Amino acid sequence: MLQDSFIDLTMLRSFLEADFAQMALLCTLLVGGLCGFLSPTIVLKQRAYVGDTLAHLVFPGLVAGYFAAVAFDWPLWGSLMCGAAVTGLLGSFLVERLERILNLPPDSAAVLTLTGFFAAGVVAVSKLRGTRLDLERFLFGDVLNLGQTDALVLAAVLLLVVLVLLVLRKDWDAWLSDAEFARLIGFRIEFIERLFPVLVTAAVLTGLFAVGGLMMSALMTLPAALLPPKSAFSLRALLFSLILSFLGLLMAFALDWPVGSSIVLLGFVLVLIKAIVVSVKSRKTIFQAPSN
Amino acid sequence: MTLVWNDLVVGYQNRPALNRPFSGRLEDGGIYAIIGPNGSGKSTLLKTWLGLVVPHAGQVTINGRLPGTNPGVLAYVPQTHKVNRYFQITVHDFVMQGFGRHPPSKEEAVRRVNTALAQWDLTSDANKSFHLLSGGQKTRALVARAILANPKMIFLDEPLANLDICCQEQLMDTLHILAHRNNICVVMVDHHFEAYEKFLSARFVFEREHNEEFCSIRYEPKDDTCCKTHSST
Repeated sequence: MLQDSFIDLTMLRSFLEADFAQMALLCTLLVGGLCGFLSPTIVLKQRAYVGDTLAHLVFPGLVAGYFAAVAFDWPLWGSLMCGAAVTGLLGSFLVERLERILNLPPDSAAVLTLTGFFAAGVVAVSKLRGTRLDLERFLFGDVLNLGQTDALVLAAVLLLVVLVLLVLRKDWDAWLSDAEFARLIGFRIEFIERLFPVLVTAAVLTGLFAVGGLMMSALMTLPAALLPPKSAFSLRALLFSLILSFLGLLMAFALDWPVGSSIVLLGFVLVLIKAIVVSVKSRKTIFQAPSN
Repeated sequence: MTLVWNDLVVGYQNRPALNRPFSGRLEDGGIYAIIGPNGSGKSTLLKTWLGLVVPHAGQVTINGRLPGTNPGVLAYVPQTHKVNRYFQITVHDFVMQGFGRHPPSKEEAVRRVNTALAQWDLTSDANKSFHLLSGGQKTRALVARAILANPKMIFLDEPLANLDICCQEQLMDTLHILAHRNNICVVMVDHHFEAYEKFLSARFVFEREHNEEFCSIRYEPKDDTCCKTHSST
């Protein structure tokens, strides 16, 4: 048994020495950092569905980008990103407008828009025969096929998120706790409200090819859901996200599982463990409560 | 500070208007109560004066400027449920937000926050999450945050509802001092001013006849000393 584990560890070490594995590790940590920084804002603003929504909103853009690349011989990567960015931002804008004009709850407006956009993408794919579009790649990503450009884009978006969060930290905190008071007393609320969907869209787009849109949604929710933050920047949420991403990647390498799914599964198990611990603790408290 | 409104009709976007047009101005220090039945538009009027809700018709200005363009001048005490319940911000950091974007030096800011916390009996709760406080403690933290930066006008939305008698009296005493010693306009929405009529300078009363679609807002000065403020329907 011990010998088997030793062999596995040796294999893992030699595996991590490969270039593609190092690139995968770097990109996974960048995605982990990105999600760790954004997680408190997304969870505290009750926008966990935004990542999932965006993952679907970008779909017709990806389809359009793919066919534009084939038809006009454009570079595939840039074409996909542009298409995804356009429908992602357009969809986010539409969600916000539907919410205001029709007075809908935010999640209803999001579900209506995401399904509409996704359906448009599905129709487009069904009508264009003779071409193959790997849908799974966009939903679940493929961290093992990432290159230097992907890492640079991830690093650039991470830098932007870090700067914006740390420089305007007080404004983010005020917006998160009581937006009306914050607006009244002069915090930069309008700027932040416009910036927030842009940051989340950029994060989901850049994470799309690494771990997939759906997994980005989970990774942006897990850290702050498990460790409730006291500020828009939470060091422990960031560290948790980095460690989770690293362990998830190792688990994926060791068990030959998809990377994004491994990280999310690991995080989900931790959520369940926390739920059990909290539930047991609260029961103990009830039973130990003094009776007068 | 002068709050002026002309032919004002309040109401949320895509919802019916709530009142007949009315005009008026507030400039003297004093405590002004807004009273009326549930759903008549009291809180909406308060938020319209603050610039948080766009009016259906009419204009509001504070010192000749739109209300949203006066940072640091206005303070607002919302109802406690308006604070994001998922955000485990500490009471100390929550009150500190009252300084806005430009707080004084760190030592001065901390000293003033600690003084405010002591004044409202929240010192032992300073490092607790805001959401672990009781309803009355939350209201006290909201008041401490609102008056921290010495605003010129304070607007409060049902602050008495969660407070016990002792804290209600403390709040009214504090507002009375701010209104008359510092010449600050204090505008309050609430249902039960019976015990505090002596503190009020004037009242805005929302009234609706049985068959009427809109409320009328009647201005009731307490005595002639407050007649610089007026309203018309």
